[in-house]
This record gives sequence, structure tokens and C-alpha cells, in this order.
Amino acid sequence: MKVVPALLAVVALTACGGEDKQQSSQPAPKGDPGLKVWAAQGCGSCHAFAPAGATATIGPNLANSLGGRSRDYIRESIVAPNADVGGAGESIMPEGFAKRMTKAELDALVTFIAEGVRAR
Amino acid sequence: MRRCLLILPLLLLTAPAVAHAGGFATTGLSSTPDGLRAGQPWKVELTILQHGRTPLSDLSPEIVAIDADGNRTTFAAKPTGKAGRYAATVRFPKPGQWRYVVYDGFNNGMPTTYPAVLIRDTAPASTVREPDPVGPPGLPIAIGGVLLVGALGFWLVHRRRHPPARLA
Repeated sequence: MKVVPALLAVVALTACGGEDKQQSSQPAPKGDPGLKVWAAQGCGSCHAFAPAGATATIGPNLANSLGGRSRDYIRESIVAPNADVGGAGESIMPEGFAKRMTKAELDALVTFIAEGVRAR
Repeated sequence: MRRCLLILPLLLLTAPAVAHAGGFATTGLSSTPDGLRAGQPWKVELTILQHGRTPLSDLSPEIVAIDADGNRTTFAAKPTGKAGRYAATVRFPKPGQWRYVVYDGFNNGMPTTYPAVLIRDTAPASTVREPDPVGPPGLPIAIGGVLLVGALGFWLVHRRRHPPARLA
């Protein structure tokens, strides 16, 4: 009879032995997808844009050039940068720039810029 | 003639700067260091395009990490073998807020800057998931169940062979 309590004790110990050492760390915070597209496409090499920490002066500061503009206008500025260039000049931004990214990436970039300039 | 000889070295020294003056390149990053922990490697590929169009080879780009006190650590990017592509491994040595800047090696007077990033502390040892020495979580329960059934069976057989003495 003394065998039974001993076996039961073994059972209990074995069942407790597999306690999961669950990690307590939180998942890594994910960056803004639009900012990732911004960084991947090198937008900050030409444009100043505070939400992206960009200070370049080759192209226009987006807060000035796109502030108050619609999302459609922002999208067009990326897809066809020469569409609304004043005078006889030509934008130094490469035409067909948007072809380098997927539609989802373009959407994310437009959203990122629109939120950054508080577009209407 | 003597003046010309004096000016010539000066012209040669300034020639590369003049060659790049007015030129610019875009630098694309394959990833950003969001969510990194101190000391964790950030492996990133740089795509450097002259005027945003033409891949630039034979450059020596650098990523400079700058801590909250302004201390700078430089990480060189090496050519990957693909035109205009360079690879770097960056480690932010301590937690806290960091900035990082990319010098493309083409026109270092115009570095590409990015938003500050928060580098987290290294994971405490207790929070790291360790391999379970016993096995998958379900295995101990199954073993326990088998042993429990065996113990009950053993007890029943033992009781049948040795019934408890009846009270008079």
C-alpha cells in the first residue's frame, strides 16, 4: 500500500515539471510603415520633413510644399512630380518614382506624409 | 610660374569637392532600427543612387550613431557586390535615445538624417525563454496520466489479492 502514495507523488511532481517559463518581455514596437517606406526610398536625402527627422535641403520642405494639401495631391506629387511644377522648370525628383514601390507601400507613404503635414 | 605651382596642389585638393558640388544622391535603407535592444546588431543595406536614379559604386558610406550626450560611433558600410548596394552592421551599445545619420560617401556635406530611435535595455536573464529540459508542455501531463492510471490499477490489483480484514 505504501507504493500508491509514492506513485502519486511522482505523478504530481512530473506534471509540475513542465511549467512553461513564459517570457515576460513585450513584443518589439513596430515602426510606422510609412516611415519605413520613407527610409527605404531615400526621401530624406532630398526633403526636410520633421516627422521623419529629415533635414535635407535639395528638395522642398514637405511641411511647406504639402501643408494643407489633399491626400490625392500628395499622391500625385510622388507619382508624377512634374505635374504641378511652377514655371518652365522641371522637378529633380525622378519621374516614375512611385513605380519602385507597391501600392500598399505608396499608400503607407502618402498616409505618413499626409499625417505629418496634417493634410485636409 | 611659381604661383601656378603653388595653386596647382590646392586645385587638386579641391577637385573632388568641386566634382560633387551640386550633385546629390539618395540613400535608401532596407530597414530601420525600431525595437532594437542595446548591443543587438542592426544589419542594414544601403542603396545609393545618384540623383535618385543611377547606382553609385566605389563609395565608402558610413552610418553614424549619436547618443543623447552627442557621442558619435561610426559604422562603415561595405560594398555588397551589387551596384549601389552597401551593407553595414550597426550596434547601439547602450539603451536610450539615439539618432543616426548616413553619410553616403558621395556628398558627405548633405547627410541623410532620420528620427530618433529608442534603444531598449538588454533582456533580463529571467525573461528569456529557456529550452524546457523535460520536453514539450503536454508531455509531462501525458506521462503523469499514464502513471496515475498505472498506480490506480496497481492499487486495485493489490486490494483484490489482499482484501482488508473484516471487522468481527
